[in-house]
Amino acid sequence: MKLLIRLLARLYPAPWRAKYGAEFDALLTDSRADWRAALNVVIGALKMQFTTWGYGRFAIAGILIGIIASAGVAFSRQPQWRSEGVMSSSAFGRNLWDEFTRVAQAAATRSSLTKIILADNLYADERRNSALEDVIQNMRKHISIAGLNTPGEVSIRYEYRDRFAAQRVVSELMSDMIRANLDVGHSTMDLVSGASLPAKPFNRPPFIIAAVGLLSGLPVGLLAGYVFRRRRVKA
Amino acid sequence: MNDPVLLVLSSLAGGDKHGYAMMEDIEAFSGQRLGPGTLYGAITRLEECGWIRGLATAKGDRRRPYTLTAAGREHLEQEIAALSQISRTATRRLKHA
Repeated sequence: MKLLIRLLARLYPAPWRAKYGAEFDALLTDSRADWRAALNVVIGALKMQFTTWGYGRFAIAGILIGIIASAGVAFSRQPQWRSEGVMSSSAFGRNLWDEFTRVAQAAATRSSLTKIILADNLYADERRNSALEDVIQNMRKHISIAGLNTPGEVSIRYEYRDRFAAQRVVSELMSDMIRANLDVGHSTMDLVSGASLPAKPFNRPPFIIAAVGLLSGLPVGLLAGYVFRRRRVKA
Repeated sequence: MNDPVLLVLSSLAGGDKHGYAMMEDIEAFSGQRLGPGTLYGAITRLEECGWIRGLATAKGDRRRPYTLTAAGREHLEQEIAALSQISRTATRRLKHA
């Protein structure tokens, strides 16, 4: 173990080793050698390395760590499937959007989403660990309504980790919207195409993952650089 | 008190010591055993601040002793005064709690 710790001590920056190397080696010889001491030497060496780094190195390290972390998160996530259905309304222009928003809000209520979640056994793991309210909020984030090029038509989308469940949810949402339209709508609303069964998972493209890593890693790296350099100036 | 810098200064307030002697002394008076990396991180910072100074080593001995400088003594006194103030306040408040 002493030999290992001595080798780990070589992680310290060369100028530091030139000044303190001999006495540090003497301390390692005298003191007890265990995994805690080894870890302590590694952490001490890294901290000492950081104090010699400029902002450029911190920025590069931050970006690399950010990209690796975001890639890790992306690969560890279950694939998401996006189902889509198309509906039409007799409303036009701005009114079309207002109409769909009103109807969607009336359809995607807490009680109707709760019914869908329970009927299709969605978010089973999440429901064990979080409040149903949080699960519903999370579900809402994965429901979207987007305008289409065809006048009077919008698509209803939902993303979930099971493609059959995603399709069922879009079907149920569209049915609920048509029902809600009878109560709160001011136009005729029809089904143009039913909920699709997704053929391949919907995943964020790698460049988006890289961009997230870059955008989050860069400020973190620069902040770490600022903290270490500031500590060095203070010390 | 668990700041390695203060622990090292406190140890050297009791006399000049090399790294291993500091480690043993700190464990004896505070119950905390500083790891080699932590100890030498503190020594490096303290020397850069001018609060401690390395002395010449004896011939054939790689263990360098360190001594507290006047600036280091002054810094330690300020820190102790601040800690004493906190300690007095906490003690007083606990009595009235």
